[in-house]
Amino acid sequence: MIAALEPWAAAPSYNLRVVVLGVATLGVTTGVLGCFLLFRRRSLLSDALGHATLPGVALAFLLAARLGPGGKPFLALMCGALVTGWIALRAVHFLGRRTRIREDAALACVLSASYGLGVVWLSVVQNLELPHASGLESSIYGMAASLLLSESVALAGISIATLVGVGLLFKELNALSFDEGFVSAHGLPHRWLDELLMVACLLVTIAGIQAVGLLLVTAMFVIPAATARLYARSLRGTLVIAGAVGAAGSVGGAIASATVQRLPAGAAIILALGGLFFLSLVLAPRRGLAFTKASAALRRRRTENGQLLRALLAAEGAQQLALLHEHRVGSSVDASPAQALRDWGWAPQRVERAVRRLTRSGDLLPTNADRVQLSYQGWQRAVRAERTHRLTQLLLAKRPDVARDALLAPVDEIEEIAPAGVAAELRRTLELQLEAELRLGRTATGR
Amino acid sequence: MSWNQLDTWIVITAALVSMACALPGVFLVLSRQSMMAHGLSHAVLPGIVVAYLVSGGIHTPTLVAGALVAGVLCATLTRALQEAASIDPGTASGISFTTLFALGLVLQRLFADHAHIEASHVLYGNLELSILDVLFQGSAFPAAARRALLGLALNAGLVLFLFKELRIATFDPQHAAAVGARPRLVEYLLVSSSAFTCVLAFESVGSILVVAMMIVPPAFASLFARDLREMIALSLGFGVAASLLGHVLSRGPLGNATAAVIGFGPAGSTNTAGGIAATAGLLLLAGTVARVLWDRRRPGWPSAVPGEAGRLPSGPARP
Repeated sequence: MIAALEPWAAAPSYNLRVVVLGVATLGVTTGVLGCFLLFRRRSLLSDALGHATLPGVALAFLLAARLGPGGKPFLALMCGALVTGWIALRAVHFLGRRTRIREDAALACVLSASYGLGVVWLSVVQNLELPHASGLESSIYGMAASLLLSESVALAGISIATLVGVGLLFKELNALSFDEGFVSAHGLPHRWLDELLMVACLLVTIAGIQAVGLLLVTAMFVIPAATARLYARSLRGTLVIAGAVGAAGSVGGAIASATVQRLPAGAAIILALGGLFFLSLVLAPRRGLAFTKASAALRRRRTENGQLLRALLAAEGAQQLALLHEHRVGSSVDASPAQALRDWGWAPQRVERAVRRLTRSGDLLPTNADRVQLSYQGWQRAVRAERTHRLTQLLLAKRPDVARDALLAPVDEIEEIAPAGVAAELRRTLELQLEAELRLGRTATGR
Repeated sequence: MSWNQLDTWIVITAALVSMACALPGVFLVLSRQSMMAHGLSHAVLPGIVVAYLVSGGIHTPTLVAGALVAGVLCATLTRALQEAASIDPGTASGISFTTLFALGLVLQRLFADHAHIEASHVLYGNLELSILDVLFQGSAFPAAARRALLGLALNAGLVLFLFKELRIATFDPQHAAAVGARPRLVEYLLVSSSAFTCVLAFESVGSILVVAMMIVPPAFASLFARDLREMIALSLGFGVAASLLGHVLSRGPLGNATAAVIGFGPAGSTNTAGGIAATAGLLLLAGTVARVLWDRRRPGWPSAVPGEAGRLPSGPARP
C-alpha cells in the first residue's frame, strides 16, 4: 500500500487525475445502478457476484494451465470470472423468483456456496503445485490507489455505455422498478430488461473489482443509492442524486488519501461515502432524523395546545353560542388547567408545559394560584380548534375513507382534509346540530 | 482415503457449528437479514484493531473480545439503520459493514501499520487445524468443538426460552408490540446472539463455513417446511448432513473430479470448510429442483411462490 503511494509524491497531479477519473466514473455508474438494485432489495447483489467470481478465476487458471502456456492469462481469468458471475446471477434469479426462498437469502446462499467452491478449487490449484499459482486471488482483486490509465479509460467506457443505456430506457426501467405487472401487461420485454440491468451490474462489478477491489465496489453500489433515497421524490431525482453522491464521495476520498499519508484510498472513499450517508440521515430535509424528530415535536405541541384550549373552552360553558354566533358568555371564568384536563390523562408536567407555552403566546392569562383565563385571542383560537374538532368528527362518521389523513396530523381548518364540497356540507350539519343542542339545552362536552 | 479420529472430530465440530449457526439463521432468514452473517465477517476488523491498540499486543482472547464487541455493534447498527432510514435489512447491513471495515482499515494503517495484524488472525480459523489439539495437547474434546457446543447451548436456550416471542416478533412484529411481547428487544437479542455465535465460530472454523451454515440450511428448510418447528428441525438436520457429506467429499472426490475433468491427475483432499459450503450449495440446488418438479406434478400443494410479508404460505391440513 505504501509502495503504491510512493509514486504519488513524485507526480501527484497525473496519478491523482487518473485515479479521480476512474473512481468518479465508477461512482456515478454504481450510484445509478445501485438505485435499481435498492428498489428490488438486492443492494448486495454486487457483493454476491463478486464472491462468485472466485471459482471462475480458479477454474480458468486450471484450464489455462492445462490447455495454454500457463501463467496468469489476464483475459482468461476475467472470462472465467464473468462466466461464474453470470451463473451466480442466474442462480439468484431462479432462487428468488421461482422458489419460496427470498432475494436476500438467495444472495447469501449463492455467495457462500460459490465462494466455498472457489476455495475448494483454489486448494486444487495449490495441491497440483502448478507454476505461477501464488497470488492468484490478488491478481484479479485490485486496489484503488494503483489504478492505471488504461483501467480508468475502460471503466469510463463501461460507465458511459451503462449511463446511455439507462437514459434511453428510462421509461421502461421506471416502470420495471415500481410496477412489474404493468410492464408485462403492456407487452414490454420485461424479462430482457431485467436481464440487461443485471448483466450491466455484473459487468460493472467485475470491472470495478479489478480496478478498486470488491469491498469498495459493494459500498459504491449500496451507499449512494441509500443516501439518494433520503432526499429524492422521484426516480429521476434518485438516480441523479445517487450518481452525484457516488462521484462526490469517490473524488473526496481519493483526494483525502492523496493528501494524508498512509490513508488507503479504498477505505477513504468508503468512509467519505459513509460520512455523506450518515450526515444525510440526520440532516436531509423531510426524511432526515433532525427533521422528522422536530416535526413530530411540533405536531405534538400543536395537538396539545388545541386540546388544552378546548378543555378550557368547555370549562367556560356555552360552547354552542360561541361556535354559532362567536358570542362569549364565560369571559370571566377562571379555570384550573389540571382540573379541566383531568379526564385526558395528562401528566402534571405536560399540563405545566402547555400552560407555559400558551401563556407566552398570549392565549392564556394566568390569574391566581394555578388558575388561568382564556384571553380574547386564546378564546378565538379555542373556538376554531373546537369547531375543527367537531367537523373532523363529523367527517370521520361521514367519510371514513379519508379518516386516515384526519388522524395523522392536527389541522387548522377542515378544508385541509375534507374533499371539495364535503366541507361546506359538514359546516351546515354542524350548525344544525349546534342549534338542536341549544334548543334542547344540552350542555355539550364533546371532546 | 482413510478415515481416522481427526476426521470424526472435524465432522463433529462442523456439525456442532452448523447447528449453532442454523438456530439464529432460521430467524435471520425469516426476517430478511440473511446478509448479516456475511457482513459481520468484515465488520469485526475495527474491534480487532482497537483491541490490539488497547492491549498493545497480539493476544488472541483480547482480539476475539474486540471482534465480539464490533460484531454486536454492527448488528445493532444495522437494525437501527433499518428503522431510521427505512431501508431493507440487506442495504442497512451493506452500509454498516462496509463503513466499519473501512474504519478498521484506516485505524490499522494509521496507528498499527507496523504490527501486521490481520483480520485473518481472528477471522480465518481453519477447520482442519482447529481440532489438532486433540493430537498434540491430548485434549479429549477439541477446543473448537467446545466453543461450538457453547454457542449451540446458548442459542438453543434462547430459542427454547423465547420461542413464542421470537416467532411472534418474526412473523408479526405489530401484533407482538400490541400484546407486549417487546419485538424490538427480542430482535436485538437475536441479532446480538447471532453476532456472538458468528465471531466465536469465525475464530475456530473460519468465516466461509459460518456464513454458509447460517443461511443455506434455513433456506433449504424453507422450501419444504410447513411451520417454524419443522423449519428449525430441518435446518438442524441439513447442517449435520452437509457437514458429513461435505467433509467426505472434500477428502478427495470434489478435488479429484475437478482435476480429472480438466485432465490433471488426482488433486488430493481440499479445504474442508469450502467443501462443506459448496456441498451445502449443491444440496440446496438439489432441493430446489426437487421442489420445483414436485410442484409441477402436484398442483394444489403449497405453492413455491414466496409467502406474504414474512409468512410461510399455509399448507394443506396435515394428514
